Amino acid sequence: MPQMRPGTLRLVLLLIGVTSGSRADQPIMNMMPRWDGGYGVQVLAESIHRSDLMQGKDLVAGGHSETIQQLHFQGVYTWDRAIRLTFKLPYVTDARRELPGGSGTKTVERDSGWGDLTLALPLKNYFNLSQRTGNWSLTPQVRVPLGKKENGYSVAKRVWGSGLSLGYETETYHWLFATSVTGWIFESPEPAKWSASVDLGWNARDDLQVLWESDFKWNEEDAFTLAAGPALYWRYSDRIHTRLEWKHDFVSKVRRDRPQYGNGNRVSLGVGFVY
Amino acid sequence: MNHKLLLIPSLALGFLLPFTALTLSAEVTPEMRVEAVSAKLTDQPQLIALYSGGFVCKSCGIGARIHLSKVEGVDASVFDRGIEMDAAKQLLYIAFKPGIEPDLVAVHRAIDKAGYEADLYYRWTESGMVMAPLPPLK
Repeated sequence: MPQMRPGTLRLVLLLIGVTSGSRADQPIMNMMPRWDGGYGVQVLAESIHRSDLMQGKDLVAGGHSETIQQLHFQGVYTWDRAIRLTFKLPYVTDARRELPGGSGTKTVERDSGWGDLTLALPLKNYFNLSQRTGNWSLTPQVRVPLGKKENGYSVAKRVWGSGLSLGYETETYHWLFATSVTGWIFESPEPAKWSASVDLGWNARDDLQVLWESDFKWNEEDAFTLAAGPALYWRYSDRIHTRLEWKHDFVSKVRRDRPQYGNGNRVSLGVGFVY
Repeated sequence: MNHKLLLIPSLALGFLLPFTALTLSAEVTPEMRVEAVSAKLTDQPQLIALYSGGFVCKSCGIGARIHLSKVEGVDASVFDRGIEMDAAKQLLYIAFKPGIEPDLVAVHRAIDKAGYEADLYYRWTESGMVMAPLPPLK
């Protein structure tokens, strides 16, 4: 690995943890396909805005923000209900961050391009009860860097990583409950991460589900984020599915040893096709 | 108001509601299913109905339509590709072409491939409504 200057290294480290790539969500819309030979693709347009540069719980530079616009290309193939293979590949269409400059000015840096590939193998044990269905899942995942670390602003982490998720979800005609825990370890110097999620869904109609989703995230550098918000799933047809979600950082505590962006909002709109 | 205060009731709802909701969900009784099936199948010998425990979500059950519609003799001109789903009662209706004898093993295999178990099937015959388990998979 090439030697980096301390300033460059600090800049790269600053970016660690800014992406949400450790989320346990899987295509398509976290639910399909559960049938043998099923496959699908989806695209999510995501906008993340973090409004403050922080250190721990404290503001370093209020109003110095980071905004990331990206597309997520994702796909899934289901051999049978117990085994799936998924991929997730983000593309940053535009990312910008504001750094404190001299004399109260702001320096703006930008980034764009492909992110890192995440491959996962969700293993599911389904159960079908009288009026309820559900599954336990175990999902090994691997993060594949699609490029080398570069100096300057880069949303992608560009390091190898491996993760494991354990999930449980159950659904009746009216309600959905899902929870999961996920752990990730990465190549140095990326800190290990853990996350947990709790989702509650109400099936307002046969083709419409309203959810409240909560994500808890920690890393070994003592950062913690609690993001929660509503989501809406709508089935246009057997083949076309859409999802809109918004999450707000109710608790945003970044690592204490260096500045990071916090206090974020995330909006995502997705469309998926299943066959 | 401090927005963090909103989170406390939200999380409480998130944890507590599912358990109460799962407990309090209205029970669909076997009698209610028979009533629904009778209304649809009476004098319609080309239709069969399946009760599939766990079939509660049409989005998850899309595979049922995909696999059942491939069963030989299914009449794609009826319902949606020959299949109608009633997730509220965990029922699936399959339309066969007139004169075709449904291959119930193939039906059972299709519902298995869709990720579900078929507990019972219903069919209207000259002697009335038949309700029986599907033949086992070979």
